[in-house]
Amino acid sequence: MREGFRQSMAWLHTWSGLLVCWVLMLVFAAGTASYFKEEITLWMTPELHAGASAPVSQQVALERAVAHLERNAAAAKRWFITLPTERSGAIRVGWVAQPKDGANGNARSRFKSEILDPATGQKQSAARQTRGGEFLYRLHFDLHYMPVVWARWIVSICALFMLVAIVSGIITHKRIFKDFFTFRPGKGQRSWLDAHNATAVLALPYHVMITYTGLVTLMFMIMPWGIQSAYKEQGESSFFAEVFPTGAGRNDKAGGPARLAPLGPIAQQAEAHWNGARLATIVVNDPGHENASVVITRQRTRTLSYLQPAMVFDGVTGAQSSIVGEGPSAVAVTRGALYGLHMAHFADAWLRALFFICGLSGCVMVASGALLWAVKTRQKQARALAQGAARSVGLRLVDALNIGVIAGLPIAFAAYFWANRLVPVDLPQRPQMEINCFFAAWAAAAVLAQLRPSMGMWRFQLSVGAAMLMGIPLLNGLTTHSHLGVTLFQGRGPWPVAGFDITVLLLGVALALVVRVLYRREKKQAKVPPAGKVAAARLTETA
Amino acid sequence: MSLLGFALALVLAYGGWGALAMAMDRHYADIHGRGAEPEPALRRRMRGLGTLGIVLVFGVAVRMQGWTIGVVGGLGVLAIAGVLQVLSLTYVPARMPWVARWAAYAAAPLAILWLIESGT
Repeated sequence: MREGFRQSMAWLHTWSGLLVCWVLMLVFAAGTASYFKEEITLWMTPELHAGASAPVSQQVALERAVAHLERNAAAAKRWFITLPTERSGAIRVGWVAQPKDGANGNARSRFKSEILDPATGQKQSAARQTRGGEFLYRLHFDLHYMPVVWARWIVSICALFMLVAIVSGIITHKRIFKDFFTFRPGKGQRSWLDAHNATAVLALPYHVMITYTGLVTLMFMIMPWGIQSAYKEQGESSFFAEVFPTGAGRNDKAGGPARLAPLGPIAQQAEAHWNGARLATIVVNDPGHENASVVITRQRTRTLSYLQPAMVFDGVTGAQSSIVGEGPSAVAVTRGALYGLHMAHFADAWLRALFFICGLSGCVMVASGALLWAVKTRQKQARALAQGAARSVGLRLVDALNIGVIAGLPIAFAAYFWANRLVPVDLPQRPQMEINCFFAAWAAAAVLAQLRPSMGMWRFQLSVGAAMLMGIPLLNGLTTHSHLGVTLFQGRGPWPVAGFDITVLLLGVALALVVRVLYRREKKQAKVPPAGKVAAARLTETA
Repeated sequence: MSLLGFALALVLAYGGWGALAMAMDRHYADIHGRGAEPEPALRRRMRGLGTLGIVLVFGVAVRMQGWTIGVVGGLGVLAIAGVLQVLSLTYVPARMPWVARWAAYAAAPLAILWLIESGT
């Protein structure tokens, strides 16, 4: 019975994993990259690099933002100011224009935003259009080229299967402690199993956490009835109001004209209230009117939760009128903590690097699991294959998908970054062009893999991926003035740009090492006569 | 998380995992030759030291970042040290005990520097 249970769990693990592994690979890879989405966006807008290495104080940044808004958007309904953070030096300003003829039209169509150079306070007109890391972040759960709702359902179901695979995998793994540190390279199936186990077990807390919290962030889609029953009396909307305390300080009537209170002292008041925490965003409702209000939020500090309180001030007198979301409800804290744990906004650079490495180990776990299925199945068909028979349809399909996803994704990511530097800056629809490059490169890799799923194709695609990734720092050196020579060797920063270059370089080197191992193995196998191969396959089968 | 704190947690985790691996038959044999088995006393000592190392990793992480984030950070450090340990045991098993021992020795000065830096 015991053995039977374990075997049925092994079956469940194999098939729940195999069914979704290629989507999971994309989700893991894009999600891992998203830990550094702001750094990626900075790297992809080289025009902002100079400003990022000479940060200004928050007070100066705020003065410049207000001056710019008073010049360009004095008549706006609402101002938004995003102050520079540790991770991105630029000031972002935005405003919503007054609705025409008093009509309550779509606020989004009246919204304009600009990026200011923190050093001069002038508009950064030259910054190229790109979606940067935001694309990778959205790709992580909204996929692309399909309605968002479908995509979230697909990702949710894959995450659910992932959770099933994790639990059944733990049960199946008989020697979880005995094989804790075990890795035996060069032994075919055994090595893949060891690699799969090691990357899964060593980062197990991370895998469980990220899958579970990922499910929770998508839970509004999967289990709406849970919320409906718990909040039956007040209705669903009260849950949302409890979780997202936004829209504070808004007034229907703007009132007559009045001078806006200086924002500097207001910001100082907020800073003092939060014990000197840096401010994140400042929203001014109805600037220049009697009912003006100022809403200030704090930068996400080092608490686990994603939720941050906001302070509301009177926009004319400058007096504090209320505080929102300080001491939030238990529901909000729980959801905020789970959400925050998934997004890792609380993390400093060190912790984010740890998450990134754990994410990479997740990619290796998914990839090695997918490969393991192919290796095992090939061994089952070893005798037929040795007699010259073709692979079964299933094995051929899995082989091709493995190449297209595992070797193809690095090519797609690299193509996205190459496109960022090579697509002309003034092209219309430029962000979409970059994204198209991502998918065109990936589609090419996937189609080639379907046409010829062979070892040669593995080597070819991994070599291309390695070369493209290693070429990125070079490309950056040729197309910008913030290459590694400046950012690292002259020590002038910005450090996120240097970090990006080094990371893609290391990933490229890792792929190149894999290619080297494949070449060596090919050479070794060429020396062994075919009869020996069959015997070796039989040996490993019995072992 | 500071560089010193991170380095301290990492050497503690590497040393801790190393000690635990030394108490396991397979890895002991990998290090000392086929068929060698650890003495019961050695096994107990290594298990104790290993557990102590792991506990100290959490101690360092929690002191740096509090109970919530510290635990997450500690688990992350342990995962990375675990991967390093797997690679050491696979490719340089004979040298691992030496590296792990010196990692443990290095923990003492690192801890002092870290305590001074973060202000006791």
